[in-house]
Amino acid sequence: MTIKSGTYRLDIEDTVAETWGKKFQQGLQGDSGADVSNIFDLSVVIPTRNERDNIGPLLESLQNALHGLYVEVIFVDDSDDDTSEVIQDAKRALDSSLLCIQLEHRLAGKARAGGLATAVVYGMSMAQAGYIAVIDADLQHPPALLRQLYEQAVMQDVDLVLASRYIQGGSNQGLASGGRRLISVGMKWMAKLLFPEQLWRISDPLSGFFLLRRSLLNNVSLRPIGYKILLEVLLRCQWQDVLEVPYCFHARIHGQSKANLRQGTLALLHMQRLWREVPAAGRIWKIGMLLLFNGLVALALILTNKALATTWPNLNVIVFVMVACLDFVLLNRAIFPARLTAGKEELELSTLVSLEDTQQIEHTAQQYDIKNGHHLHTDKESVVSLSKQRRMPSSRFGLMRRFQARKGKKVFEKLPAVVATLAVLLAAGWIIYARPGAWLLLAVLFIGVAVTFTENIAWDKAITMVLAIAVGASTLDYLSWRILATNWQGWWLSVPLLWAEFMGAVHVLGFQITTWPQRSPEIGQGDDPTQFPIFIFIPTVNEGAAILRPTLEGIIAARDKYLARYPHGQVTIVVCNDGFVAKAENWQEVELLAKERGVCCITRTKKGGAKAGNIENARHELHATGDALLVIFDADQIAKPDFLLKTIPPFRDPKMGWVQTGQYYANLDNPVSRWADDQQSMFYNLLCPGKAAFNAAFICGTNVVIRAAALDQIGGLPQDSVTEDFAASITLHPTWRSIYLTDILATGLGPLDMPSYLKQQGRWALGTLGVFRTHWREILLPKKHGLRPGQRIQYFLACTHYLCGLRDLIYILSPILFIVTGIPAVRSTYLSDYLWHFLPYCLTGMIALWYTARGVTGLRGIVIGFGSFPALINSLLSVILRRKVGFAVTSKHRNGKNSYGYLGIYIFFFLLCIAALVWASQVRSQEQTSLLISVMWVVYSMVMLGSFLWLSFKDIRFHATLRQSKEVATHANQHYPVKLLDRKRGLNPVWNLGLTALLASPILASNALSSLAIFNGGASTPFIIGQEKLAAPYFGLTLPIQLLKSQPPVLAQELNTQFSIIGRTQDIHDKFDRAWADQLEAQHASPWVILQFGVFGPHQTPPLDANLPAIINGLHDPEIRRWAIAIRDFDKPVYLTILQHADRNWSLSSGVANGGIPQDVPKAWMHVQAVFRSVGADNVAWVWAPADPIHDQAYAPPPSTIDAVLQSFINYPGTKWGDPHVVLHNLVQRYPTKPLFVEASVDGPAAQKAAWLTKFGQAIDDIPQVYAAFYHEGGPGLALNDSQIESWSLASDPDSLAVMRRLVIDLKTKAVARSYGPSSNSVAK
Amino acid sequence: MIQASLQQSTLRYVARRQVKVGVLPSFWPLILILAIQAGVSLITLHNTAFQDEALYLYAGRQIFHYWMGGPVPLDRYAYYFSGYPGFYPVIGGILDMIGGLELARSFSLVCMLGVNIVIYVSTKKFFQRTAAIFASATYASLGTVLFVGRLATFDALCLFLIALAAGIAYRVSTSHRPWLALMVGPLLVLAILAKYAALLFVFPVLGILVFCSFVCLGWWRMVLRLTLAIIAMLISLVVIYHFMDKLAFHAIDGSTLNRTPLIEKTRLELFAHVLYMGGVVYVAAFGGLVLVFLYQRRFFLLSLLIFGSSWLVPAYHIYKQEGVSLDKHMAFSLFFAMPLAGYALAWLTSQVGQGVANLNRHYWLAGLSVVLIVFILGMQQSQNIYAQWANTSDLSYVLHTQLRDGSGRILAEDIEVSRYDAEDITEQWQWNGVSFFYYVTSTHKQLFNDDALRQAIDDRYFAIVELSFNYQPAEAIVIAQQMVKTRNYDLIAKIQFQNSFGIGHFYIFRRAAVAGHGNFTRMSQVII
Repeated sequence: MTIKSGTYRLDIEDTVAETWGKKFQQGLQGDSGADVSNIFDLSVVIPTRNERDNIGPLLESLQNALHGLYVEVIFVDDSDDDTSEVIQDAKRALDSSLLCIQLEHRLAGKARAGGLATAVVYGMSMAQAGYIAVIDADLQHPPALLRQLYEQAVMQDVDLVLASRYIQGGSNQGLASGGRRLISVGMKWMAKLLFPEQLWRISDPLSGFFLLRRSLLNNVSLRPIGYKILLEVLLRCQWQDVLEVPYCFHARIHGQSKANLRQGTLALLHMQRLWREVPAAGRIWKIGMLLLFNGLVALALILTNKALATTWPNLNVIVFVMVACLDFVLLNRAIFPARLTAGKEELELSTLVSLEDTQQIEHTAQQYDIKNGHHLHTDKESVVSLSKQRRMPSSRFGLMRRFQARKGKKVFEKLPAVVATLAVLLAAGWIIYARPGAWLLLAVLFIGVAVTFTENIAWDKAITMVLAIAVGASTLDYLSWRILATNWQGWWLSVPLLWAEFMGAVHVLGFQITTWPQRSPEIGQGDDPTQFPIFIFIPTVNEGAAILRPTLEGIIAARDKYLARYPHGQVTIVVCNDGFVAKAENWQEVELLAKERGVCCITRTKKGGAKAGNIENARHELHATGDALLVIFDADQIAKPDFLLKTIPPFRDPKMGWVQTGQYYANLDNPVSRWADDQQSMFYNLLCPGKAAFNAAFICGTNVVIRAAALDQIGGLPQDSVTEDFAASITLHPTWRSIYLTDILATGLGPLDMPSYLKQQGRWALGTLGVFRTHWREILLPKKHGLRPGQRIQYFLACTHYLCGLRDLIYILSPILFIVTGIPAVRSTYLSDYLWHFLPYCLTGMIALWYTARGVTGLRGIVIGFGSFPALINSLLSVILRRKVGFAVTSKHRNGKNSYGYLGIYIFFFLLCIAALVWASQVRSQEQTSLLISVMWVVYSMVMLGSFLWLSFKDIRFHATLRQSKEVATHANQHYPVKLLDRKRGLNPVWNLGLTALLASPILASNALSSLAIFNGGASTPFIIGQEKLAAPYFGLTLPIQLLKSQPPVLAQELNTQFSIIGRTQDIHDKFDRAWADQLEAQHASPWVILQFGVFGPHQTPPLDANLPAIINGLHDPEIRRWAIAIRDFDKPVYLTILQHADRNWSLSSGVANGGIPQDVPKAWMHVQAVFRSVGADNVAWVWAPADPIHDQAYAPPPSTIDAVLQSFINYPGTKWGDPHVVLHNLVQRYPTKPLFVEASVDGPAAQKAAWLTKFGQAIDDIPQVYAAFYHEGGPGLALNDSQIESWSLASDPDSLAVMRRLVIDLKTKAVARSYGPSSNSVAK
Repeated sequence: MIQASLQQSTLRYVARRQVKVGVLPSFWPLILILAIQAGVSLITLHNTAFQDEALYLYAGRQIFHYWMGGPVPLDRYAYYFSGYPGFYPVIGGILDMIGGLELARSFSLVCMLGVNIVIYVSTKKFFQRTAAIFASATYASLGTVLFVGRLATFDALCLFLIALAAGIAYRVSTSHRPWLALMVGPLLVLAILAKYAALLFVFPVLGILVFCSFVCLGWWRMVLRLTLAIIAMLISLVVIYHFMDKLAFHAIDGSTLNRTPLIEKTRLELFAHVLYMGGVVYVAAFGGLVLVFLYQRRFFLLSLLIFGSSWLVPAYHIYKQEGVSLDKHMAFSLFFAMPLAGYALAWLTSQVGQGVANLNRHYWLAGLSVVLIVFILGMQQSQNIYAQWANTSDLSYVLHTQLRDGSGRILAEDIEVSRYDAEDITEQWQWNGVSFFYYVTSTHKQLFNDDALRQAIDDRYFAIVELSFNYQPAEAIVIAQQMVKTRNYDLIAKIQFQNSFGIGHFYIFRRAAVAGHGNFTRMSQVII
């Protein structure tokens, strides 16, 4: 914060006095031409309501305080008493010529809606002085201070001066009570906290006493609620500096205060509205809330990630896209919306107003040509930048500041151009050859921006150019790749598609060439064009008087304005009536109308040549030749008053053949016109100015001024074409030049319904393609004194534009044909390869189009253009087959009949697309990449067709509504927006996109973030077998995978028990089966996983990485960690066995084979445990399972790392089966303190099996160290068949099953007995 | 009359705060250029360690461990390294320990970005901003630059130090304060320490100092600056000499001064390769030289010097007919050519003296086109160079299934990368290369090279043998034949790789469980 101070009172007094004096003199002289807004020094807005007693003293104080200033006092009175009369009396009684009082009394009711707020806004809107003050009428604001507010505002040149109660020297003691003071301070702080960016340093943002610069209110719409107008001003207006002046808020002497609880509520509502409506208001909170929202979503995802990871693995991506879209919309609309540009760069010649303007521009051009040896620059920015450039200090030791062109050596002057052309061509060739893909795009963008962007850059131009280069480069890259990938075997499909893509690419490049920023066309010096006679031709056929009347009124107004400026001018308005020859019913009413409006009407009696013939006939009749200037207006085109003022001056250039202006639709309530206008806008606002830069702006038939001499040269307007204007332009352009003005100088009627639109498009296509057929030599073949290269390019683009109908049809059909026939247009290629080349092409094309066309056109224009493809194809066929088609005027009346026949073709293709998608879902054997690409294109076609059908539906609905209202006439009388002036800054959405990505990035990263320790809830609950107090050993099963789900329930039923532990073998590359584990948990059982580090390959060969060094060296660490995390998250006891049978050479991870050595076993064992410990997976009991645990000394890990030891009895038939008692007894000797897992699997004669199992049961019963007993179902083999499974099963025979039943019962009994203690135990015995 | 009765001190003036972008506009084109250089390098160039990288980083870690009290490195790196082992390798080794190979390579990238900054600043100082932008953008697009920026070897650091010295030489030659010249000498000495080949650029850098300061400041100021630079350099040399391992002189002689070509190529081939790598820049730089001659002749000698300096490395390679490392050494050469090339491109785009504000003259497209040509070419070149060596990820994986820390000896044909990849699971004494192998038999007989290898195979001395028949094929064949003969080894893995020469295989052999019963019994089991 800075405080301005100074001793300049005298100076400012002089300044103000001098200013006032000058204005006062003007006021006294009563000069009608003087701008009244400059007369008053100050406007004082005073809202009043029942303040009759305060008016007199107030005015007296004001008069005293503002003595010497020319002041306008505006009372906006909402009183129910006689305050108004008091004001009127005071006004009459006032004897000062310096104080001008105005009174606006608002009647009770609607007029007073909004109360004080609207009263002040109304008063400010009436104010005429440069500064406006707002003061209450209740004398609580000292009027004497107003003088000081004004003086400070002028002295310090600030935007706003406010009287503050809360700075040193001020006070709020005048507030009626302590409560009110408290509320006032509270509200003040609330406002400051809510809107810190604007208000934090303002001491009294709710003051009602302030003064502001009137220009602050320009382009601002104030919508206050309640009393806090200053708050509204501070938040909605773009102020730069504020001065605060202390004041004492006085107590009220007369009348009653209007402050009450309701006003407090209104103030809160006001703040809420501002927060909502003003993007910059409370922006920090808005961003904070958005940040918080994104953070909370990310947190929610992190927390739910574990639960949803299996079912929705990409949930974070989906949520990211959704939230990012929301973020973007909020940022782009409500927080950082794009501001409007000044539109200066678009307005160069288009802003010409008068002859003097052109002279001025020409003068400037000459100056710059002389001074810089450079081309004309008309825009202010360029001028500024050049002058700055000249002033820029060069580096002191800069080797060279400027090349001096060597006189007389033209080679040197031309060399850069030659080398530059070669370099560009070489680069293009190199791109085609190398096809670098998306990298090229990045290089173009980064390096291009680096090269072009400097301190003095015209940003908009630079961005447009860099994007254009990016489009050019990526188009070359894509096309070269596309040719290479074309499937020439399926030529009948691929060649048309290739042609269509080429056509598309040519027009994409053409668009970039056309919209490339160009210098403004120069205007030569010649005779004063206002001396030339002007003939305004309005050809009409059947439009009728209702349409023609506003047209005539418009052009008459334009004529009058022109003649007012150039009284010596000669303007003849001619209605060229073709109604008679066209046998129009209403042809005579046109003549009557012309007579009524006092304009000439020539009714043709001899037909031929359509519109061109009509105009030529009138020209002939009136001898409008030679120097004459011909203005052509279609019957529905209503001229703006400036039309002639702007279009005639450029004809001072003797080579100027015609000046074309835009054709804009002003019946935008009609949906078809609205969408068609978007399409038109692209042409008139973007392409035409570009074409004009190439001197290729052709005559568009209406809203144009043509030099008659030019037409004379070619024998008049060609009458053999439906686009006679276009044909004439091609013939004229080698010798005549043209310019295009982007101003809205006339508006007309757009097509009223879809059939009219399609008919119009078809007619234009017919004419343009017909002209291409007849004039292709002028466009394509070299000719001395013919068209220049830039003109040829532009005419070629214009002529071939209407081939886009065929192109779009091919786009629709090709993917469908591929899906049906399986013949790809592109040879086998990877999707990534396609995307690598196509995406840059597609994206840059779209981005460049968006940037260039932003605010001018949109998707509507593209959709309606796409929808015209049947009409365009029809016209193409007509041209090819040389069918004769008559000229038909676009209807200016709605057709009463309902014709929906045109919709059939769109519906057909839409259904075809659906059928293709269905077909694609059934296709299996085709190339998947091509299929995917085709499906993508079919979806695109459906979107476009669907959009067009939607528009047609809107059109039908619109007409149905109109029919109901029985409205017949249509007028082009609506406001048409000046699109080029109202364009928004282009890069804001890009920054918002970046900000969106930043805000939503935690959501995208939620998967990664969820693995952070902070979100991982520490370690699991430790599981220590040794601390378990078992009544009896557990009984469980181990099974191969194929029996895992089916066998346990069967055996549980057979044995009439529930298994306590279920074991299975899994590969480390599998996942921990959480669902299975949860199911076991629900059955009060625990999982036992035997984890292996791979699976055997052919010939029982183990993979190299299954061996022990691989485990020790950490090759499996990621998988082990994944398992550990999953088991930890399960958080229930899990038994885990690794390195099973590591003491045998058959083992997968052997300590005696496959590169393993016995010493590796404990290392690997402990390595795995270390990984588990590192993630906190303590809920694991480690079961050591060698083949021979009794003799495992060479292999065994340290005892402290073993929780239990497994003894397996695998009894093969025909072998000697070990005695379980002996074995287990020896095992207890080896591991006296370790709980034992005992597993059996037996195949043999039933009696032998049953007998052994009986022994097994006894052994378990006798040896207390046994922790759990298992039967291994399915046998030890790796590839099991059904008979093996059956023979090794526990239920292989009734005897064995019976034994096991007994074992289970014994274990249960034991458990029950022990649970009742020693006494019970003895009873049981 | 107007009364301004308020006390000024009671007023409060509040100006609205404006948010402004804090980046200097004159530098953010450079930031964009550096971003594309870094982005392209980091994203397009991926491979496992090149053998030189592996060797230097491994050596650096060993030396650093030794400095920290660890064991003495078994290898005498100073004897044959082309830069001083105690300098870059240690920096690289430490970075490798912290963040692995990628961090070590990032250091090189930072160095190359630094070089580009020097080019930008110097060209801007010497010529003009547009020339600087073109010079910088072109340099960032060169294949050799992209490559060196992703190679954890001496080169990037050495080039950065040379560039810094040259940049200071430019600066001190245009400044009235001579003391900055004191930095030129030490930087050059450090550059030489980083890579001995930097000796070649001592005179060009001093030449810049001499010519530039002579033209800009006059002869006695030039002498003063030169004297300061030389004195500082001599002092630095004496200090360095005092501390350095004198074995390095053998390396300087063998790797730099009297280098024997490793891959001999014809001079025409090498010249063509030089043009392939930097032809566009040389043409542009020559154009710049002509322009200087035409427009500012007093700087012609200086321009001639830097243009000539840019040919030093190619000339040396062509003279020696040495093809090895020419790709990366081109980055050194082209550094000197860049200011002239940028100047020529600026002239071509008619930007000099006008600024790019005059965008309606479209010649700036020409400059951009040239840069894009270089970029496309450079990206392709850098990817080709980067694919010259095989990816050893699979080899490393398989070795990790066989190696034991502190147990068993390993014989590896591709010892540098194998050892580097397996550094975390082995000790340095376990590794043996196939060259210069020394073996003492149980009867205390000392054997060398092939004899030693044969005997060691016979004795089942190595637990693991790795051969590729690619790096040292002659020795590899001897070893393989001996393994076939003795049947002492099992062939346990065959890993396919691809490099610029085509497809090959790494073979991993493990000592058979029983002598004479290995499964590697025929040479046809391997493809040579």
